[in-house]
Amino acid sequence: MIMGKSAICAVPFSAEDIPVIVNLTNFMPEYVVDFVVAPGGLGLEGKDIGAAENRGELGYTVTSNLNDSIKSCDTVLILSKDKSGHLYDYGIKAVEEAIRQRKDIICLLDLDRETMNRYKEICHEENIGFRCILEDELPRVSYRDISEPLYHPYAPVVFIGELAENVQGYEVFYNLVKLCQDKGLRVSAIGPERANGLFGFHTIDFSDMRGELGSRVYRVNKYVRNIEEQENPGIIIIKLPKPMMKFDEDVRYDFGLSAYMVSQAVPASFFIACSPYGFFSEKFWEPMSGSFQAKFGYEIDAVHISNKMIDNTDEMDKNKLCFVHMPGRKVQEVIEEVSDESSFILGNLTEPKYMERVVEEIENSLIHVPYGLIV
Amino acid sequence: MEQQVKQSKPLILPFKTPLGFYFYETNRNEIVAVNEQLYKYIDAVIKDNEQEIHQFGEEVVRQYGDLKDCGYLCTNHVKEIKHPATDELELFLERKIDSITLQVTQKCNLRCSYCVYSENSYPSQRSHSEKMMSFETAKKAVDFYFMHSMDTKQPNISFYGGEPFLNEELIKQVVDYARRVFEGRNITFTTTTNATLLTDDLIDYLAENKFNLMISLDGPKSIHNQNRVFAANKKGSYDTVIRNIRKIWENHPEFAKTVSINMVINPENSYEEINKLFNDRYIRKMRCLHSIVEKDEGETVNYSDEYVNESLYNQFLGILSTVGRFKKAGVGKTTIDEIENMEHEIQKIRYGVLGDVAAPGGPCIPGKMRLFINCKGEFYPCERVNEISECMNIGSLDRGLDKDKINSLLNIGKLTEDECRNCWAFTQCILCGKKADKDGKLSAEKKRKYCQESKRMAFSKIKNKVLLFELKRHLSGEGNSLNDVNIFREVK
Repeated sequence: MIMGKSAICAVPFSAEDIPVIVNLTNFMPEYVVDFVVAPGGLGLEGKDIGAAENRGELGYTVTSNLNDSIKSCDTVLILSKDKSGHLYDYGIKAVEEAIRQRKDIICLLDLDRETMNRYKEICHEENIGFRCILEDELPRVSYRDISEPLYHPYAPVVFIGELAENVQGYEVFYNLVKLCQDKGLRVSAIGPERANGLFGFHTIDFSDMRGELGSRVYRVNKYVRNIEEQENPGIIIIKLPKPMMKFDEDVRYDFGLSAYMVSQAVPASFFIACSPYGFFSEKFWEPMSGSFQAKFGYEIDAVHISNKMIDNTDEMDKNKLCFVHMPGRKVQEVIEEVSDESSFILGNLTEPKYMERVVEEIENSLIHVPYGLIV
Repeated sequence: MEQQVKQSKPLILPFKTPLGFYFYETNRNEIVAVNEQLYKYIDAVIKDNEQEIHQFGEEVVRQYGDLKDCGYLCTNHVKEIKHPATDELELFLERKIDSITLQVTQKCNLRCSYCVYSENSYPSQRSHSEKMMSFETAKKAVDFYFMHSMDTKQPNISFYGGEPFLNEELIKQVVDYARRVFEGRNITFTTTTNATLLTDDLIDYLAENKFNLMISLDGPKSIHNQNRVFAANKKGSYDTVIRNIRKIWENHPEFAKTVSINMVINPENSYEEINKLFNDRYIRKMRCLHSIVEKDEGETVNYSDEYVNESLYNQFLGILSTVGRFKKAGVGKTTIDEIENMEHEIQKIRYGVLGDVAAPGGPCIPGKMRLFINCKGEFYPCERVNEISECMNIGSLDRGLDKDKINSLLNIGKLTEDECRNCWAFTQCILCGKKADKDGKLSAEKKRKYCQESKRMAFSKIKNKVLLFELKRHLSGEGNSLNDVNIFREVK
C-alpha cells in the first residue's frame, strides 16, 4: 500500500478487466490496486494479469484468496460481469464479504434495483461506503428536436470500433483517452463500459434498441451535444457498442446496427478499427475501409491488431466467436514486420509506441488544422 | 455422377436433377444453377471434348466467360496440403483443449452384439475388461485439462466406458474435484449410459449437477433386446432401461427434457418397428440421435427392403415437412433426426474461398476437440478411435501430448496429397485419421478405400441442398424447370 492512497481490491478479475486494472491509477490517482482477485478456476493464481491474455507482465499479480485480500484493502472494487455467468455470483459473494468486513465498496456489477437498494441500506446502516456505477440514460427528444438537422459537434470525434467482440477495443479506448489527456486535451469519453462512470467518463448502453430507431439517432445526438455543452472538450472519444458488422451467417452480433445508429447520430472525424489477430494485409483493409466509408460514413484511419486469434474449430457455441490468445511477443514481432509497409497506422495500440503515432495523426489532421476548419 | 478433373480444368462437380442443371464449385464451396446449354458446354470442357466444344454458340461461350469473370469455374488447385492450425498447434494444445473424455472403466454389464469391445467380434479393438480408472489418474487428467484450457470458455468433462456408472463413485469424485479446480467457470459434465444402473439417488445426483445425459436405446423391446443384453444372464435390458427413464421423468421432469436417446439402428429390422419405440409417452418427448450400426472392416451392413422403402418414404415426408407441406408429427422420429442433421449439414455448403495452402475438410485438431483419456491415462484423439493402435496414441498424462503424432493426424490429407488436391470433394471431405489407421500405422492405401464413401456423402449433402432449393422454388410457383433460366445463380 502506498501512503495516502486508498488500497483497492479488484474482484472478480477476468481477461476483459485488464483495461480497468491497468488504467485505474491513471484515472483515479487517489487509489492504488493492491489486490486482484479471481476464482482459482481461472488458472491465474500467482500469475500476472497479462497471463489471462497470454501477454507479458502488466504488473499486477492475481490471487484467489478473497477474504484475506478484502481484509487488507480499503476499498473493494466489484468488477463488471455478465449476469448469466458464474463470475457474477462470485461478484455478489465479494460484495457480501466486503460488507461483512466493513470495507467500502465500488460496484460495477449490473445489480437489479431491489438488490442494490438492499446493499445501500445495509451499508448506510453500517456506515460503509457503497457506490454503484450506473449507466447514463439517453435524453428524450421532442418533435421540435427531430425536425431540426442533427447537431454537429465542434470538437473532433474519434470512434473506436471492433470487428469482433472484446478484441481489446476497451483498452485502446482508455489508452487513447489517457494519451490525449497527457497532451493537455480536455477529453469527453463515452462508451458502454461501466468503468467509464468510475473514471469520470460516460457509460451508456448504445445497443439498447428500445424506442423508434430514427428518434434514437436524435437521442444519441442530443446526448453527445449535452456532454459537449457541459464539458467543452477538445476532443470527443467514443467507443462504439458491439462489433461493427456480422462476422458470418452464424455469428451475427446485432448486424452492426448499434454501431450504425451511433455513426448516424455523430459524424466521426477519425476511426480506429480493432481487429482479431491475423488480418494484416492491405488487400483486406483497403476494401474494408471503402465499405466503412459507404456504410458508416468514415474510412478506417488506424488499425489495432489484437493477439486474439479466432478459433474456427470450437463447436461449443456456433453463435459466438471463440478465441485463442497468441503470445504477445510473437504478435509484436509480426506487427513490427508489417507495420512499416502499411499505408495507414497498423499496430498494437495497447503499446504507447503505436498509440503515440495515432495521437500525432489526430493532432495533425484534426486539432492543429492551420486553416479550412468548418465551424 | 463424377468427372475426373485435371489441373488445367475447373475443379467442379457438374450434375443434373430431373428439374435442373448445376455444378458444385470446390474452390468456393458453392452450388451454381445453370441452363442446359451451359451445363452441356461445361461438361464438354470438363471431358475435354474438343469436337463438342466447337458446336456451341457465342451466347453459351459468353455465359461461360461471365462465370469465370465472377470467379467461378476456377482452375486453381490447392498447392500445398497443410491444415490451417498446423503452425499454431502448440498454442491450441497449450491453451485451448475444448473438452476431455475420461474412460472411467472398461467394464460393462451389457454385452451388445455390435459393440466394438465385445469379445471376438472386433479383433482389431480392445475387449471389455475389469479395468477401472483410479482417482489418482482421474485427478491428474482434470489437472492436465485445467492447465491446458485457459482460453476454453465452456470446459466440459465426459465420462465414458464400458458402462461409466459401474464406476459411479469415481464420477462423483471427479465432479466434486473438477468443480473445485474450475471454480468460477461454467464446467459441464456429459455421460452416455446404458441406463441400467440408474437408481433414484443417482438420478437425483445427475439432475442436481445438470449432467448432459445420453441414454442408449435401440428400439422397442423386440429390437432392443436382440442386441443389448446383460452380460450376466444374456437377458434383454429393455425393461430396466424404460423403468429408469420413467423414473427420470417422474422425479425430475425438467432434467428429463434435457436427456437424449442415442439409438444404434440395425437396418435389418423394419423402419416402422424401430420407430414403435416412440409410442412411449416419455420417449416421444426426448431428443433422439441415431446412427446405423457399424461393422468391422470388410463386413457390410445389411439393409432390409422394408427398412429402405419405409425410410425413403419417411425422408420424403420429412423433406415436405421442412417446407411446411406435411405435419412433422407424422414423420418417423428417426427421420426427423436425419432431417435436422441434413439441414445442419447443408449449412456447411456456403461461400468460402480455398487458398493455395489448405487441408481437406475431415480432421479435427486431434486432442483439442475432445481429448480421450483411457483408464491408464493414455491419450487418444477421441473415444471413437482404436485404443490399441500405435498411431492413435497421442501421448499420456505422464508423457504429455505427442505433437508429432498429432501433426501427422491433423495433416492426414498429406498421405494422399495428389488425389486430395484434385478432388472436387476437398472441402466437404469427412475422412480423419481413424479411416487411415491400419495395423497401428497411417496408411494411404487404407484411406483411399474410404474416398468413395466420403465423396458419396459430400454429394448427398449437395443433392439435399439442391432438393430443398428446387422444392421451395416449385412450391413458390417459380416453375418446375430451370431449363429456361438464362442466367446462373447461386443456390440459396
